[in-house]
Amino acid sequence: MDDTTPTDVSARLVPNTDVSTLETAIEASVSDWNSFIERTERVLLLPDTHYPFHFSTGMVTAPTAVRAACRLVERTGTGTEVVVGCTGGEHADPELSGRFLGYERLAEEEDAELRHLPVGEKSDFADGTAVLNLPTVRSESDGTVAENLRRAFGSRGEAAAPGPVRSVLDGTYSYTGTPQRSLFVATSDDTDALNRWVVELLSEPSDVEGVEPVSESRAVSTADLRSRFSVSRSQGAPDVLDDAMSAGYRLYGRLTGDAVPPQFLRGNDG
Amino acid sequence: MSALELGILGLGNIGTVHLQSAQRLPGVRVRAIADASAENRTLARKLGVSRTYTDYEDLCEAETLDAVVVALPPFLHADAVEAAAERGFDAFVEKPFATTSDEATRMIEAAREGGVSLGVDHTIRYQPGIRRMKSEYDAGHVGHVPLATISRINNGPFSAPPVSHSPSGWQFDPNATGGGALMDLGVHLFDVVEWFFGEVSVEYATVDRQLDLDFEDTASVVLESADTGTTTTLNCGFFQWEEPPDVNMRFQLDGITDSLENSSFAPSNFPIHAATSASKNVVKRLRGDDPDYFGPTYYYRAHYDALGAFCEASAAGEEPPVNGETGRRMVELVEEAYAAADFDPRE
Repeated sequence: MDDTTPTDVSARLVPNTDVSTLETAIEASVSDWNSFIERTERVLLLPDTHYPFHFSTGMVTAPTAVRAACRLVERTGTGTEVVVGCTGGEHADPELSGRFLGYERLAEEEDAELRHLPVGEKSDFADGTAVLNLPTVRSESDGTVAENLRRAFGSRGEAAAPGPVRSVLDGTYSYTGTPQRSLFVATSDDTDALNRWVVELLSEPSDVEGVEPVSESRAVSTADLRSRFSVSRSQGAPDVLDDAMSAGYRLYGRLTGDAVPPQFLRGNDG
Repeated sequence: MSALELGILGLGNIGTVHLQSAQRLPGVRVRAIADASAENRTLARKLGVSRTYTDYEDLCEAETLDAVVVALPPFLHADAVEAAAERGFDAFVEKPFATTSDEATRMIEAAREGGVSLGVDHTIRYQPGIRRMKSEYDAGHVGHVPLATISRINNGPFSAPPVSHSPSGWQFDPNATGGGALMDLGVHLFDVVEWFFGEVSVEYATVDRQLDLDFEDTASVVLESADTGTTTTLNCGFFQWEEPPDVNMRFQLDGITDSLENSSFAPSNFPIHAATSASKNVVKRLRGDDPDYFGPTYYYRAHYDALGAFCEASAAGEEPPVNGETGRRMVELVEEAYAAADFDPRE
């Protein structure tokens, strides 16, 4: 991978995951934040809520990042309304996922509206709604930036969003096959550029023993950021391994008369 | 001697373990299963059970049985046991035995009136490592044990990635489950602790939630045994990814002369253990012998042994080794722990 940071991507390390720290980091990262918020009556915050994983796994957005965004909008906007959108995913409906991830409580505490945006259903939004896309940093071949927008707005993603879109990657925790406390945020005005960047960032993690914490938030290069990710502990493609193991175990069961564990029982052996 | 005629009520994951175990237990015949899911009934037929019902009440009404396995969600245990007891069927009940101790009392009363016996699938005491520890402890090989720790942590109703299924709604309703991690996992651990050290009292308990659930997914309890003077710290949780055969179940005894822990007796490398055990089973089969059932998985064997012990007792007209009173006692301990933590999952 080219370790040079694209000129249209801005990444910042943060010393901790405190709400105030992230609020400042998000504001510093989005170069046109003031003009973005000035033109907006309503901001739809879009965390990754595809399944109720704990945020420390890096599989979903950390609610502290969403709370930081709520407070940033409230502080810098002029009566701008905040909407927290929960999409859920293939195996979790938006209400269940949003509630378990803490967004019902967060919306109430931050005086924000909570919207459930079921995947595959078209949701209507009022005029003047802008989108702050807050995906997590997770190994995903199509990129979590684009994936999060497609869940909310359909296959056209950003093109079907109700208004202008800014994306801020929540890298406080990441998942590369192994959870990481990676402590960064990254953003770009160009959604596609940010999406490509995060896919490439996670494509070749290095083998590190631990991450040196920073004492204050600062900009970070792609090269430096890449060196902070550990290699994945997972071996092989889980779906392929599971299918092979399931079929193998069922064959073994037929040969020996042994019982088959329930997780391997339900498959098609032709 | 005629076979013990068995019905399986509920064919979710644990129901399929019991079905396959029962099909391999000597002197046991599975007559029928009941499950509301068409997919599960299809699986039952694939596994060789032709008589399937949508409703367990219909199964109990139509079949002449000696016993049933109740592998239904906890909120259905009481009704299922009453249905079985009215017809003179012994019942082997999944844990938790009941969602409340009052419900457990109702089940025990129904069994007494029906002249039937109740067993409970408190499996952990049947795990090979735990049995080895019990032998070593009973033989005095670690001396007096002032301190013990026991823990069981899994992912509860959730999946580890890659996610393959949506969790069922009832699993998030504490009125249907009886509670959270304490009721689902803690009951097993309380059973092991009392099996080792006799009756315990709850000295302290605390609960927590890592996700915004209606019940606890994290719990810690301190138990005191008056008989042995052992203080046990019990932890359980629904917050960790788990993929069988790797199971996060830890039991450690810190005795005067030595410490014992269950992991010392478990395979150090599960893939190698599975391959070795499977190879041995192939050889056994070629010789015409029965395999070591569930051998490659290591942990599922405990369910086979627990059901086997119940069926043996049922066939002999004897009280099962882990009976309804034990099941009720474990639910009572969970309720005591909730009270000590000043937490009621049903509120």
